[in-house]
This record gives sequence, structure tokens and C-alpha cells, in this order.
Amino acid sequence: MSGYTESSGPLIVAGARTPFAKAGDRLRRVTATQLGVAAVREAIARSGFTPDEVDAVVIGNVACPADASNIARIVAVQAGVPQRVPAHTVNRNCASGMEAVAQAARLVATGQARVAVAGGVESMSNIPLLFPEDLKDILMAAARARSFARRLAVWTRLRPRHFKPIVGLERGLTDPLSGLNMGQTAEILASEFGIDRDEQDHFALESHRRAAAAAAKHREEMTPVFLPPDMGRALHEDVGPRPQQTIEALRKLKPWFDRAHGTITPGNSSPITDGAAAVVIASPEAAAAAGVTALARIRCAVATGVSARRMGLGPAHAIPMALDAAGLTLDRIDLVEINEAFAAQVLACVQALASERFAREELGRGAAVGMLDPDRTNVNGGAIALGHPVGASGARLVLTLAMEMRRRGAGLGLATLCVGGGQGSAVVLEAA
Amino acid sequence: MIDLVIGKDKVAEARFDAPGEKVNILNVASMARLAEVLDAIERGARDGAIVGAIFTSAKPGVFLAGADVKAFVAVAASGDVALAEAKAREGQALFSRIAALPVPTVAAINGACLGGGLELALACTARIAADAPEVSIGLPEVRLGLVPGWGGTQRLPRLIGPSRALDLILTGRALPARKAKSFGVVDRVVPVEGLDRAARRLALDLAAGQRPRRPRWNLLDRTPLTRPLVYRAALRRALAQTRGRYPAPPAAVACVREGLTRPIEEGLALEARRLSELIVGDVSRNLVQIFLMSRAAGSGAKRSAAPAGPPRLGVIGAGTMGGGIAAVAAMAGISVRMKDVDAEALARGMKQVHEAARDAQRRGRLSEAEATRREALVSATTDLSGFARCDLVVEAVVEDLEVKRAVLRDVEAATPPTTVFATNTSSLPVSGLIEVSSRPARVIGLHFFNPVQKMPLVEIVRGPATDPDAIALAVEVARRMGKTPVVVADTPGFVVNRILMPYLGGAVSMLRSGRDPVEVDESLVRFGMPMGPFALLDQIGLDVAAKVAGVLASAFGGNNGAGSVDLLHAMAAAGLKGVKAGKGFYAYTPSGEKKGPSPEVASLIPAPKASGNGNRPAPPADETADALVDLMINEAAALLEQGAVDKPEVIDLAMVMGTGFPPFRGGLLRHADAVGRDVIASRLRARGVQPAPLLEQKGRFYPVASSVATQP
Repeated sequence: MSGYTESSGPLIVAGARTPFAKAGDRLRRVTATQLGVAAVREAIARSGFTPDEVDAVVIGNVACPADASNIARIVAVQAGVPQRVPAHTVNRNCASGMEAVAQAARLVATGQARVAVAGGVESMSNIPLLFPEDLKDILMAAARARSFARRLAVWTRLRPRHFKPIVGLERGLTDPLSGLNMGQTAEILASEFGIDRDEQDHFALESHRRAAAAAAKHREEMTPVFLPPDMGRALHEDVGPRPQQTIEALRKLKPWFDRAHGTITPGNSSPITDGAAAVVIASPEAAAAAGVTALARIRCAVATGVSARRMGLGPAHAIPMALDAAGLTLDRIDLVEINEAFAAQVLACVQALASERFAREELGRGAAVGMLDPDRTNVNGGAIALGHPVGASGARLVLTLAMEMRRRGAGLGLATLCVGGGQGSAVVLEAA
Repeated sequence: MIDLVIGKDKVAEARFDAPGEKVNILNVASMARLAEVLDAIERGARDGAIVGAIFTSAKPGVFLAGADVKAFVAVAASGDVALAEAKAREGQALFSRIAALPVPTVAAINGACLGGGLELALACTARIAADAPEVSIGLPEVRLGLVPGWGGTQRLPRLIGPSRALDLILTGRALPARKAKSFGVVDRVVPVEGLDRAARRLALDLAAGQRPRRPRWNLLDRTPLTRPLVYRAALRRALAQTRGRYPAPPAAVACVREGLTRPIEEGLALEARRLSELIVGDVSRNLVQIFLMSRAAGSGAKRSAAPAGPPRLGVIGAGTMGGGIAAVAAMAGISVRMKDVDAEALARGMKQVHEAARDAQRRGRLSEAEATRREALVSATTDLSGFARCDLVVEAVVEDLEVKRAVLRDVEAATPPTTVFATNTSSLPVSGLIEVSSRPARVIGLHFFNPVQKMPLVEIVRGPATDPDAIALAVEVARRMGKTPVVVADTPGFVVNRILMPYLGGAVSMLRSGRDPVEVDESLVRFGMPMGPFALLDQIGLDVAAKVAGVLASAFGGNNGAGSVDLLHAMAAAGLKGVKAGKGFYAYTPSGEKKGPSPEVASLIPAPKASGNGNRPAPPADETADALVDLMINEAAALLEQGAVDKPEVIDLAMVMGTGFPPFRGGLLRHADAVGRDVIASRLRARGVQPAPLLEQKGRFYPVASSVATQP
């Protein structure tokens, strides 16, 4: 596998995201479609292109809202992209937003699109509660019953257990391949790599501290979301970062996934979140013709599979793969954005990447991949503070990385996520 | 003109296709051709070659837009009632031939179907409409001071009952497709792609003996005993709105009432007679003039290199005006980049956009998906990102020259040199901005009225070096937004505010001399204004009015009621700011309805000039209205003389559209001609006001041929 060359590398011209809010909080009445439209519309507006100059739209989304089949298409048209432009939705679970970037970049690099919009949207607030299958059978039988007597007979089969809702969100966050939910996979890594509670809590504290300190920078990425019912109020700040977070408060929380012996708590995990992010990707020729400057160039985008039980190690596999594709080593990367699904998961990756043994035994490499040091990693805070709207995070990381690279004049950057079900995804950016 | 093709299924299709035009209208040529087409259909029916006929249109979005308005201007000007009646009978006879055809006929309505167009469709056996937003079905004749004269007052009530028919006829409103179906005006609504085919199928079904199922008439319509209630209610509603100044609504009610219980031929004769009386009358002639002026407004301006799609708009300021501009533009399909200082300010604007979208959806003008899409045409930001592709940027920030200049400089730095910068200022000179601009030829004024969603007028203000393409772009944007543009010069107050100020100042002077504001307002409402000067001041806001009056007074000197400015300032300082403060000259409910005169006003009015008659009865109502309207005329004359506008039509159109000056009077200067310059000049002198030089000159504002005498 190889990356894009300097002359053909697709450019990230601009991007925007909505504020992120914890599920059930201020964005709970906003649909995923509305979030997506806000992000896409603003990204296009900032890019210097107009919606009718877009050739393709790719959007990541995991929940697949029942009333928005192929949400990318609906978001695209409602955001002003003409109906003649194709749009599709992608799902690589937690890395869907990054997958969208990868696919859009490929369309641009292969000349199928001059300008493409890539993004991710998720409204975890609106993931439905489900009825058990048995109730569905009863309802369908009742609908088909030909007489009142028959229908009555069907109704008599109802029991209270038929109405016990299944929490869609819970189901979604449980991986059928390993039979574990996401937090449980993180506990496995915490044990395997010996990452104790204290280390995780400090990591979480630092994420909040950095996010709060970088509030102005985050605001540069954001476009306000106008809130139903009348759009007369706006959310324009992330609901997540806690400037006043203390280690004591974090210590008080109880482990969530393993009550007896666990270390993962809601405080050192990323919150369930609503949000959307989008970037506009253009070919160098299209950007030059339009006279627009870019934030960064995409060097390569990779994805790989890993053990579902230890899905948190996805980045430990994806990073070296991306570096190889770009012909780089980790020490040359100036900035890294890694999704903080769980503090333990990030810390496990840090150890794995620094470990020669891990490199030999798991990656088939001679030497350790390198150090993911704190001063170039998640410099503006991460998902523990900001939240992890699963379909959107991958796009948000790319946007945050590109903008911070521009601010610092950084030459190379890398964004990466672990993926529920056992995958890793990574993108390398270079200065445009 | 009209192509006639007989299909293999023996259904004839008469397709309206006016050569070289965007719309089909019923004029002498098309009516003559229609007669030929009917000859052929009658022949074909006799020979058995035709079993049904459909009427279709080749124009996208237009079925038949109505009769040729210019044609009946000529008839009206002749004053020949008999000629007018004959013309009406001609059209009626033609449509009666359609109704009398021995084969069923179906109208396939793909778009605008108004006036004579609907009357033709009503003469058909059945009507099918496309489920498209362009479909607009109605009888707007009343808005031109007329009644439908080609059978509309006879066929529509027989089809849908008198109460629904009068609802449509007396308001002149147009229905979208689905509403038209629920009213019973059309029988089916089908996707536009299958319209003609569905029309053919329906014609064949009707030929085979099927009868269309139509909604029943409203309950009260059904028996002769209760129908008078319907007529009385309709008449009462119409008179409440028109205050008896417009003869068309009562005539329409009479046509329906008298015709419904008679054979249709008699009803048609009565309709023709009533139409002919109305068409030569002053009111209709005035309304038609205004309609034609409005249609022609801004038509001289053409863009040099107009791209295909709608222009892209930028709006600085998301307040009442900025948000309103964004809302109206977005609903018209124009994308808007809106800027304000923070998210809360932007939310105020977005709320207006959202309301406009929901409103359009509720009225059936836009589907939910389309309303959502148009709402999303507005993107909001707190900086100047995203303005580089805007063709026109309007600023609607505070009325402060320095602030506006800063906005101009920032916008020019963020946009290419072709972008036009427009200021929504109502009182500041546009030249104050032009002089600091790096592209003075692209700076204009674009003055909307409040509320933007409702007020139809836009004043486009031209600077001395403004390039015509910039004006043309502004005209295009205004037209797309559904507004009527008038192009004016950069003089203080432009047209509307300049003319209003002395009128308002005069009213306040009357107040200071002891007149009752309620009486004064009533007098102007009787004259035909939608509200009196004190209610208007409350709407504008006394503080705003005082400021504007101050600006104009300094520009023009005493004639602008400068003496009353102090009183307005005093009232504003005392919290009596008008509707927005809940009280001004009147007291208001939180939702803005008038409750009654404001008791505080009396305490603020200095005692009237002592003349010994504390209990002098108010002068006759006419005199009050005349006195204040004379002040408007005086200012308008000065304006005209200065060359601030090209011609009197601009002033009349601006006053009708911008202040609701009674359209039945034809406009401010047409009314002035009816009264006579000399009369006005002497009345002004008698009240101690210096008449404008133009008023002292003999002559008229309009040449006699185009002028119409109005009722005093």
C-alpha cells in the first residue's frame, strides 16, 4: 500500500463541526440529519466553493436512523448540494467519519470528484428503544387477523415482558464478535498492560484541562446549532469539557463495567455524545482554479483489523501501517490526534507502540514503533472531555488535526481511532 | 398559439403555447385562435372523430395566467361601457361554447391558472392539477377593482357553492393544487410528469359515462333560506376590509347572489353588465395602473452577464431587518450567509428564517422537504468567512455611519471586487459610505421596510457613480424576493420616509394644538390609509421617528415638521416608544394589538395655543385628512422637482407599496391631479405652509390621457 504523492494528494480545504453535547443534553432534540446539515453547510461555506460545485458527499454514521436511510444523501441535498450529485453513507463503526474522509480522498485522487465533502454525524440521544421480537410477532399477527374474535385471541398472548424495552444503545455498544461491550474490552487492556485506575484518572483530568484551555481553538472549528422548536436559541460551545474537574471527583466514581475489580469509570471514558463534523476535500487543481488555500494535504489513509477482544489496540496496528504507507517514522510526526475512547485504551496503545516486544510479536516488526509523547498528542484535549459521537469522531479528529497543524506550522500529523469489533484506522496529513 | 392534435384515442389536445413568451395569456390573438380550435373540436365531435378534449399548456409553470391587462386598459380609457360589456360577452360566449361542447373537456392545470385562465378551466367538464408548487388557482380580478367577467361569478359558485366561491372571488387569493382539490375547484391532483396522460384518461372516462365526485357545498349554501346569511357575511367581511371604497366586492356578491338562482345565461348577462361598469370606473383604472407600474418596476435594469442560478446573498446583522431579509431571501431560494456578533444574535435571525419556512409549509406553498431545504440555505457565522462567493452583501446593522463604514471596509476586504455592497440604511446618506469605498461603483442603498416579510416595497438607492449592473443585480434580488423595487436617488429619506415625515410632523402639530389623536387617525383611515399617523408613529417607534425626523429636518429645514421632533423625543424619553414598548400614542397588548389611547399622552402635551375655544369642535374629517395629505403632496412635489426620482409613477408606486396609500386613489400624485395643484397650493398657504414651486405651476403631474379622476 502506498500513499498519495505531493502533487496529487487531495487537499483538506476547510471544515466545520457542531458543538458536541452529551447524549440527553442540549442536542437531544436535534436529529442526526440536522446536525449533519449544519456541519456540511458550514464546511462548504468556509471552503470558498459553493454547494453546486461539490461532486460527491460521503458521510459516516453508525446508528442509521430509521427515518434517514442513507443519511449522507439527505444531509447533502438539504445542505444545498444538487440532486445530481451522488452521496453515500459509510459505517466503520467508531471510525466511520475517518472512513468517509478516506473514501472522499480516494474519489478526489482518482479524478472521480474535483471537490468532495466528507463527514460524520451521530445523534446517540436519538438511538431508539426497541421492542422485543416477540411483541413484533404478536402485532403482525393481530394486523393479519381476519376477525375480531381472532384478533382478541392474539391480544391474549400479550405479557408484561413483551413491553420491556431493549436499549438500542446498549446493543450497539456491545460487540457480537467478542460478546463484550466496549468498556469490557478496555478493562481487558487495562489488565493486560497493567494500567491502574490512578493513571487513567490523571489522563482523563489532563484531557479536560487541555480541552478547557483550548476552548477558543475549538470554537474556531465550530458552527452553532440552532435549537428546536423555534431555532431561537443556539448551542455554540461543547457540552463536555469540565474546566473545574478535579482528581478527587474522578476518584469518587465507581467502575462501570466491572463493579468488583474494574478501573474504567464514566469519568475516564468518553461520554456518549451527539455531534457532527465535516471537511471539504478538493484536488490541487480544483483548489488552485478556485483560488482557495488548504489546511492540509492527505498523505494516506489506512484501515486494518485487530482482535475484537482487544479492539482498543486498533491504533497500535493502524499507526505503523499508515507510517509505512507514507514512508515515515513516528518520530517525524509533529502532531497526533488519537481518539480517547477510554483512558485505558489510549494508554495501552502508548505502551504497545513503545514496546519492542509488542512490535515483534504482534506487528512482525524488528523495532518498537515509537513514542506517542503527551506534548504532541491530543494537545487540545480529546474525546474524554469532548465526547465521542461514534460516526462523527473520525472526521472531527481529522479537522482538529488539520487546523492545529496550520496554527503551528506543523509539517506532519496523524489521526487515528480504535474501532469496536476490532479495527484500527489512521490518516496521515502533511502541510499543504 | 394553440396547437390542436387529435390522438389515436380520439381525445383532442388543445395546447396553449404563446410564441416567444414565457406565459400564456388570453388576448385578442389567442381568443381568435381558440374560436378556431373550438370550431374544429365541434366538427370533430359531430363526425365522431373526437370523443373528448383536453386543454394543456406548453409553458412550464404556467397554464393560463389570465387576460391581457393592457388590452382592457384601452377599453377602460375609452370610457365606453357598451364596448366593455360587449368584450365581456365575447369572452363569455367563447367559454360557453366550451361548456356546450357535446364531448367532455378536461383542463390539465400545470401551473398558474388565474382569472380568465380559471374561467376557461371552469367551463370545462373537469379539471386536473399537477402536484407542483407552481400551480396557483384563483380569480384575482377583485384586486384590479373588477369582477371575473368571463363566467367566473357564475360557474365557480355553481361548482363549489357560493360561500367558497365568494371566499376566493372577494380575496382574489390563489390556491395551491391540493387546496384547490379540497375546495372542489379541481377534481384530481396528479404528479406533474403524468398530468397530460391523466387528463386524457379522465376525458375518456367521462366520455364513457363516469361522473366526477365532488365535495358537497357548505351547509349554509345548500338551501335558499340560509344563503342570504352567506351573502351578508361575505359582504360584511369585504366591507370591513375595504371600508366601502371599492365597488368591486359588493358587485361580485350581487353577481353571485343574483346569478345562482337564475339560468346561467341570465347570470352571465348580469355579470357582463357589472364588469363593464367597473372597468370604466376610477377605482379599477387606478388599481390597474398601479398593477402595471408594479409589474414594470425596475424592468429597465438588465444585468450585463447574469449567471444561470439565483444570486448569492450576504447579510450583515441578524436583527429584525437582517433576519427578515435572510428569511424572505431563503424562502425565495436564495442562499444567504448571515453574520452577527455572537450565536445569540444569530439565533434571533435564524428564528425568523425558521418561522418563514414553517409558515410557507403551513400555507401549502412549500412541501416540508422543500421548506427544510430552503431554511438550510441560510448559514450563520460570527466572522466574515464564507462571504467570498456572495454577489450582493446587505448590511443591516445599527444606524451609525462609523459602524457602517467599518462594516463596508471589512466586507470589501473579504469579497472580490465585483461584489455589490448594499446598505439598508433608512436615514443615513449612501454617499457617506460611497466615499470610503474602494469600489464606489458597486455601493448602493437597498432599503427594505419593516417587517420585511410583509412590506412589498424596496427602495434601491443609486449613487452618482453607481454602475447600472449593480442596480440591475439589486432589482433581480428584490424581484426574486417578491418585492417591488423603485430606483431612487440618494437624498435624505429617499422617497417614502421623506414624504411621510412632514405628514407625521403635521399630525403631531395638530396634537399640540389640541386635536384628539384618535380623531385624526380615524380621519386618515376614512381617507383610505391603512392606519392613521399616530398609529403609524407607534409602529415605527417614536424614538426612531424622532431621529429620522431630526435628520430630515436638518437636511430640508422647517417644512419637515421639525418643531414636533422635540415632542417625540420627550415622549420617547418618558418610555412612550410605541408598539415595542407597549405604549406610545396608544396602549398595546404584548402581541401588538391596539388597546386604546394611551392616557399618558395628555400629560405630555403642552397646553394648546390659547385661542379661547377650548371646546372647539373638531374640523370636518375630510379637512383633517386633506391637510395632512397635502403635506405629503407638497414634499413629493419638491422631491420630483429635485430630480430625486425619474417620474411621478415612482413616487406613487412607492407610496402605495410602502405606506399603503389607498390604491383606489391611484397614488399620491394621481390624487393630487384629481384635486388640482392650485387647490392644494392655496390650502397649504391657508395653513401657513409654503407650497413647493412645482405646485405653484399650472399643470398636472400626469398627462391628461393617462390620468384618472378620483373620488374626493
